[in-house]
Amino acid sequence: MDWLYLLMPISGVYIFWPGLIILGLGVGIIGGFFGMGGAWMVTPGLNILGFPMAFAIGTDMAQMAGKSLISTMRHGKFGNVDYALGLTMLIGTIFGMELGAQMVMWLERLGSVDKVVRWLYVVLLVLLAWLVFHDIAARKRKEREALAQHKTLDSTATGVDWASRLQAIRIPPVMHYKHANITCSAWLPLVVSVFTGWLAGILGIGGGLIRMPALVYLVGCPTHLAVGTDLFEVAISGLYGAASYAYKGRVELLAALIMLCGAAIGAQVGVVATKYVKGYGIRMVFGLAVVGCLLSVLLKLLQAEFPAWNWLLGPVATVVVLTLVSGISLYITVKMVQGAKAELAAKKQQVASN
Amino acid sequence: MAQALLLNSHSRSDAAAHTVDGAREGKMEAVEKLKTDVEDVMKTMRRLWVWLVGCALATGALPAVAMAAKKTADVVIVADTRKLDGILYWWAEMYNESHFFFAILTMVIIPVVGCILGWLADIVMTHIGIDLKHRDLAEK
Repeated sequence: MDWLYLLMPISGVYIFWPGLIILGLGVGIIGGFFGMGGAWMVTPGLNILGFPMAFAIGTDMAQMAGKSLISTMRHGKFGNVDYALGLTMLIGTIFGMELGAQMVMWLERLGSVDKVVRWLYVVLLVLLAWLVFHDIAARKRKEREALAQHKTLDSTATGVDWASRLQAIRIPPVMHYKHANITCSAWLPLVVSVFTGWLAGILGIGGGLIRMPALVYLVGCPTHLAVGTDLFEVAISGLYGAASYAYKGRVELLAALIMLCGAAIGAQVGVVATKYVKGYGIRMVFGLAVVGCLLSVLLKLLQAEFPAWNWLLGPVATVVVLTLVSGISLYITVKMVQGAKAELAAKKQQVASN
Repeated sequence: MAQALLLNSHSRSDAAAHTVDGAREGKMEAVEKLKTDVEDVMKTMRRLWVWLVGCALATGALPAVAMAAKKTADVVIVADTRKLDGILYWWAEMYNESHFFFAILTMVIIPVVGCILGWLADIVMTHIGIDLKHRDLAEK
């Protein structure tokens, strides 16, 4: 079975390469569907496969850039990417990330910052999960109210609507983002991206997990557009991260390329599935992914707090993350296959009736 | 008669005034239209300029920021090339010689391979027969 293991030229470790393809496939599906880089899944996954942590992060960054590019290409063809909005956000993200990174260095000089950052991450994830599920509940309540008045709620209506209030603040220059169909001050996406970038910089994450809901709830992007536009940004910021880690010598390009083979298929599945799942379906599964990320971080924190229980917490963390990732990937794949089948059947029926 | 002539001359001067006013209004309209057109073009140019400057700044800032990244770890990792041959040997040797070229090549290879794989996957997907260009934007 030696042929299943490949020697990595830089880190010098033997890696089970089918594992890399499976990991790439899973993160491709989830990333393409939600518009996130998925570092919280890949970094521990690569670590489990045998990479030292620094190489796991660097390699994840490299594959994230390629995978997001593949997903962006597909989303772009669906019309799900607003490049103007993405570029505005990118400028803010770069500025915010540097601000966050500088702040972490300043905090480090003051004292131990690790624990504070990790707990801040937990708080942020709890808030995100609450926001997503609160929004879903609010939309259901509006639906019930409309039904009681014998009306139907508009298909584009949302539960939480902070964005329209923020869009009403018209500080010049006012921009119209054509694909997203948003007219707002250019400062809105800029300020939001500086904030999300700053958070990502402090937490040391890519930021897709924060940016996607920020695009939906603060900027007012339709869910599909938020996913596509966020992926466009993840592709560029991932490339920057890959460059930074490669310059530090912590990228295993061979592993990233093998993962990309799986991610190319996964990304297609994930992106095409968004065609068959409505916005709130995506938000619901995104909420579950946030819960998965939260559990993963919490278990890691507990491992640091109670090292005596590592024999139990370590495997539990692995099982929880793997189960959730496999479950979500399976759900997305099933949705894509079902949708494609139904579309093909409808096409056949149309041809037969003609 | 004189009154009629006076009236006539009045009406003539009125008509002339109307014609002059009409021509003036027409000219004013044309000037206004030209002004709005110029403003539109200027607005578009201004927007284009802002985007160009933004993109240039972002493009310029990315590698500059990447290169400015400090090496926090003092540990120097050297790739062991003894078990490698062919392209992997060359890759590991290049890594040992210069992290800068290693970073540049990584930045080039990743998007190129991403585009090629995306294009190939696209070809496969189009063979399934589903519509890959349209989608419904409904939230529910």
